[in-house]
Amino acid sequence: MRAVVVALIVLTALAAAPPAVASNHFNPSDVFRELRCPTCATALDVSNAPVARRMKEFVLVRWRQGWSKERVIDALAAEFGEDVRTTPPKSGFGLVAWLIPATAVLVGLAILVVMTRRWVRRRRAAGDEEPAALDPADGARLDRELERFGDT
Amino acid sequence: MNDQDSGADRGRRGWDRGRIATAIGVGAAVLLVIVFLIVGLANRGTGTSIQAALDRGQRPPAPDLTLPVLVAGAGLGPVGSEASLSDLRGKVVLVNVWASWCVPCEDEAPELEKIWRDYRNRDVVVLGIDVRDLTADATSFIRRHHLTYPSLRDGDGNDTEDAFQTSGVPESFLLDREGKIAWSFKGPLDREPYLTQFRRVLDSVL
Repeated sequence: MRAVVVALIVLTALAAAPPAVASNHFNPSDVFRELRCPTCATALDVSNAPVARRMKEFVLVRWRQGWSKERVIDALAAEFGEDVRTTPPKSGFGLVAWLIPATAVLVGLAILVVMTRRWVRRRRAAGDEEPAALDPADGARLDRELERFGDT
Repeated sequence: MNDQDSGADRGRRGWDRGRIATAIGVGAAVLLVIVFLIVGLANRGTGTSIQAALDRGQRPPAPDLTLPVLVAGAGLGPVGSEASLSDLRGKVVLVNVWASWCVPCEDEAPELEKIWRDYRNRDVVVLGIDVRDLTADATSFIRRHHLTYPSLRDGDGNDTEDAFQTSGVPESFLLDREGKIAWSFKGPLDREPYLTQFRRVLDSVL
């Protein structure tokens, strides 16, 4: 009898417990950082504009319903346009925004390597060159100076 | 020796060409950044040409905005289809830019519904444009205020802002039968003396 009562209590507690959250579920704060308010253009986590508050409520409701992070963000982008994302999508035309800075860094590094190698080569070539012949008058003057230096 | 000299000369000339190419590249990059900055600054904010023309007593042509229908009516629809302002050419149109999260929009909604009911038989259309809003919130607002006039939807609000040079919500524009802007108003159209002023302009374009 006691076992039945305990089982009933456990079953009641399980039934009253909130639905389990999927292991891959997102943190709403992350979504707030990835979306911007369409009226003030600041991220949702720092915006207190009326529409930003509604968007945050939208995110929280979908989060409780178990939507994925991507689905929530896509739904709000469909409502307010792609500009609502703080970062462009990593597919389609949005990929260009990711590729251009990466390409610019690579091109910059390549230019730096080429310029450095050219500079080093030129310095080496300059070091290998024979010194220019000394003017006889300058040579005689140098000898005199060195002689005088040796005397002191 | 001569061969060496000519080689050194070639080297010097090559270095000069390289420096010139680098200078041109850097100059072009700097110029590009300056152009981007100028274009960015020029496109910042909204224009004021509509208000300036109205202040001069002129009627500037209304932009031909095409947006999805949120609430069908006055020949616009069905819901979800695209409709243009030019579809209403020949009618007097009161364009009202609104959003469900805008408190002053709540205040003016009953007045706009009253204008629509009073004048719709005289070829006057009240046309809402819902901007920067959740669709569910917008439809809930319409139901809550029992609004029956048609509305379009502009999710990011950019098309409306660019076309009508709006800076917030609510804003209203009265278009005459030729599709020209006869009057504009920033703020809620819910009190005197603005309502009397509006009706006077409305009567003048009917």
